[in-house]
Amino acid sequence: MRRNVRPAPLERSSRRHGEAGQNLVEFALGITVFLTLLIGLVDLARAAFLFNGVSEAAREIARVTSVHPGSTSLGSSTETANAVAAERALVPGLSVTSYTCLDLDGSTVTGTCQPGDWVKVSVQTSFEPILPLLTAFGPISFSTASSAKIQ
Amino acid sequence: MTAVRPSRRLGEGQILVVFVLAMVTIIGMVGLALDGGATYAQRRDQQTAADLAALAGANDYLLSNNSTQAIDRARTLAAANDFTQGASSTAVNVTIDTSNGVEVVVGIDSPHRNSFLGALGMATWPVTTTATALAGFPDTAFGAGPFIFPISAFNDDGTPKYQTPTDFNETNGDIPTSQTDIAWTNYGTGNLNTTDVDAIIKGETTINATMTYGEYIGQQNSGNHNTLFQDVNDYLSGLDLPVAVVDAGGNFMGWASFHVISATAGSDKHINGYFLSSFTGDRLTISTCAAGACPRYLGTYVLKLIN
Repeated sequence: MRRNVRPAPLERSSRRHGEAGQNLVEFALGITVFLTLLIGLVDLARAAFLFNGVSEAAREIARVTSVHPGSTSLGSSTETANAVAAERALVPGLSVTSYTCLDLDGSTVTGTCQPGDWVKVSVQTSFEPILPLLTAFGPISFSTASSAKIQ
Repeated sequence: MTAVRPSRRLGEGQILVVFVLAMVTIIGMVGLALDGGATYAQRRDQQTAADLAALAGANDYLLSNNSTQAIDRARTLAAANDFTQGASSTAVNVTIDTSNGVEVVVGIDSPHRNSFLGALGMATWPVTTTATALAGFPDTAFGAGPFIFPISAFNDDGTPKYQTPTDFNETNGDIPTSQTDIAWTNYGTGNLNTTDVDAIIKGETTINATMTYGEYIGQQNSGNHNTLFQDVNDYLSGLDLPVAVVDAGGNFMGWASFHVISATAGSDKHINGYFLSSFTGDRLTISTCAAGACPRYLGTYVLKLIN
């Protein structure tokens, strides 16, 4: 079969090259759109996973802090530190922005956080899209908070 | 005609490879988002189920003093929240430790069945949650107030008789003589040291006392306690304090939580306040008093998650 290709007349050969070029252009255009959609989907899924992870991390850290508030300040217990480390393994770049002690009505408690008060844990991480179109928007910050009643 | 076929074949081959790679990526990423999210959701439900089961088990033990029944209660609660022991690879492990109050540990293991990631060889993800609840009657108080109350101020079922503002007087006895009578204490023995009592009221001394059930704690009260009443009014009004409760013989029966409204000195000396039926902050703790061995009629008990 291949032997037939080489001795082909000039006019047929040029037509063949033209078709091959057209295929290449179609393929190139197609693959660009396709890859953009594919990587966009990957980014969307990563963002969804990260957002779920950040929400879960806030809840988990709040749950642990509610039973181990720490003797010096909220969030100072080793159990809270361990929970933060465990969540960081799941959510890259996770950091706890604040531990706040709230009253039942949502106002901030200034003194010691007593059982019956609520601890509000705020966490954040940044999401870096891998799609070149979106990298221009830079890292996007995801932050959430969760509250739990001090036991 | 034949000349075109090789290049077409090449293109078809590339598309196939790209398509397969794309499918794996799509399934993987959609799986990560959906199965990952669903696993987080399950973990949340599972933690709530473990928390509630532990509290239910501890509360049951507090009332029944029966570990088999308490374990059943914890499992029933977990099942009511869709984590049934033995069903769909779910294990609900309940252990009870009664060495220090009662501690009920509930561990739930239930794998999350992945819908998308199963196609990539990850059929399940393990999800494990644990919760520990503590229940019991406290024998240790931190920051206790310098008064002793009589057990006759409580009903037989444990609820306080005075949950609305009431005047409590002092008749200068070593121990309370009526159900609205108090006796002062500096948590020592022998004669009452009014200077120490005053230091407790002013917050200069913080009492961190562990009492043994049945221990005699009455002290000789006499003299004019006008300053003490005046200082209670000045320093303790509006506060919740752990207070010691004694039987008719002055023997320690347990701690209760008392809310001070005001105090009046002079000819009609009294403290106005009421009992709280629940545990006050973290100032009452269980250290050695096992549930079942502790008095259970004082209205103040501890039931909380500790892990």
